[in-house]
Amino acid sequence: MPDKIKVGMADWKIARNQDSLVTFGLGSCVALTLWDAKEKIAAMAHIMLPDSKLVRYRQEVNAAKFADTALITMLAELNKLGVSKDRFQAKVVGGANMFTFVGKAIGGNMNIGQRNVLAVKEELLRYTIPLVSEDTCGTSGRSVEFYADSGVLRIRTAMFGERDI
Amino acid sequence: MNDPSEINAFYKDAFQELGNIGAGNAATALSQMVGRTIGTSVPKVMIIPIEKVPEVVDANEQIVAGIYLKVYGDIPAKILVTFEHADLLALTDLLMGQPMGGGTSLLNEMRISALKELGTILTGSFLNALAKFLDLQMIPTVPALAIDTMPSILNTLLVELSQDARFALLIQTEIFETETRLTGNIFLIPEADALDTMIKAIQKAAGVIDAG
Amino acid sequence: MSARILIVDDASFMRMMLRNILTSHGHVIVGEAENGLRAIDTYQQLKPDIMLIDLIMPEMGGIEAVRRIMEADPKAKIIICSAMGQQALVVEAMQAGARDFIIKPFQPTSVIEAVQKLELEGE
Repeated sequence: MPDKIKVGMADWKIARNQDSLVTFGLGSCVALTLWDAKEKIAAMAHIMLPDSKLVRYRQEVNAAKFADTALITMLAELNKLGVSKDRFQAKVVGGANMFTFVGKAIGGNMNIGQRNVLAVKEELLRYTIPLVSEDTCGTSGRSVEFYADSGVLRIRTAMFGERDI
Repeated sequence: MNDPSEINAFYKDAFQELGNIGAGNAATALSQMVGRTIGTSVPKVMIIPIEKVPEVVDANEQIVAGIYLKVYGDIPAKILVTFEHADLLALTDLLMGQPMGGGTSLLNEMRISALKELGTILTGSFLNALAKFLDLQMIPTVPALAIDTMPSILNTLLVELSQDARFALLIQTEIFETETRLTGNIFLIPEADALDTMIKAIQKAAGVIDAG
Repeated sequence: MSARILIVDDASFMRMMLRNILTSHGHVIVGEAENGLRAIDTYQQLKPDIMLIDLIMPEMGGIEAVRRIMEADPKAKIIICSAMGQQALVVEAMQAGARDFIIKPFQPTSVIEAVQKLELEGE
């Protein structure tokens, strides 16, 4: 039986072969996935905020919570397992802006969802990891499942059903 | 204090009473609006790490209509009013004084407006009671509506909060129409900055410290 | 008696409800607006006998609109109709020049009574 490994908010996990990674309730949060096609290794982070430097508390926090700390942490850990970053391809999902009123997004010109997406893409550029597909922004929340054997990322929304990227 | 995890049992109890007072008034308002009996449940006070909130509140990815208002004034907070997706047509029938399940299958613009107005009135009456009890001012924004899964909606609200705090304080009260069990939930989620003010106001209201 | 009434509320549902209540009692709805800014313009154009206005609205809220309308026309008869019944707000609205305050949700009769009272009050 393949395992469905749950990735909570601000968390990240690895899956191999037949197993998959799932995370649900991506509103303005972003799921970043990495996949090594040769070794059938998948990783997924559930990122909440664009910038770790903007938070007001300084306690132990999950690196996967922030766009600017998630990728570097994932790459370092995966490197320890002998996976080279050069084989990874990335997908990015989420960053919705679910609440709008009278044509105006809550939170000004650029909402948190949009900022999350941009920050994650910036990190991918920095580490030269190719972004092969994305399903970002919009107004719908998303739940995703990422399959380690195929690299398929299945996206589910409340109103529009399922689609794979 | 801006970390709810430090809140003790006395204040947890007091927060529960705040939920009671607010939801009681909101239920009265709804009852007047639709001419039916509206009940409320015992409020749940949850103090949980922000990352855990969606799975604690609803792990089933239920689709709901969420009406979200920000609250400004002495107690900055978020208020979320939710109704199950399956109930929306019947609920708007009730609001518009039409026979329930009267055949409409469309959530048209007027029904959407009715839902938002319901959120405004429930929130307004919830806050009115709280403001009176705590002798504070609380003013909401206009409402924003999303129809989506409960975890996605909560996720969006909590992300903002997570810049300021690790734990969230949620006061959740169910309100329901007694005849057909149409059920909604009102969540009050104070911002991290609001906790001190709330606790002081509770102390004053309860006569724990001298009001002067 | 029949009054010419302007309804201001951001919720079309609430405007519909108020319209139904008022017209069924013989009043005439001369116009509607969905925020404070539009209310000011519409008031100047239509010069209604009575205006019903919500407090929390986008663009401009009710209190500011009341203030500006009263500046231009100190005889304006304005009733606040809002879900926000907190004492401080009621006082602020009355100080701005509103004549009455109806808290949502309301019984249709309280709307009719408030309108009748203002009609009788004269200037």
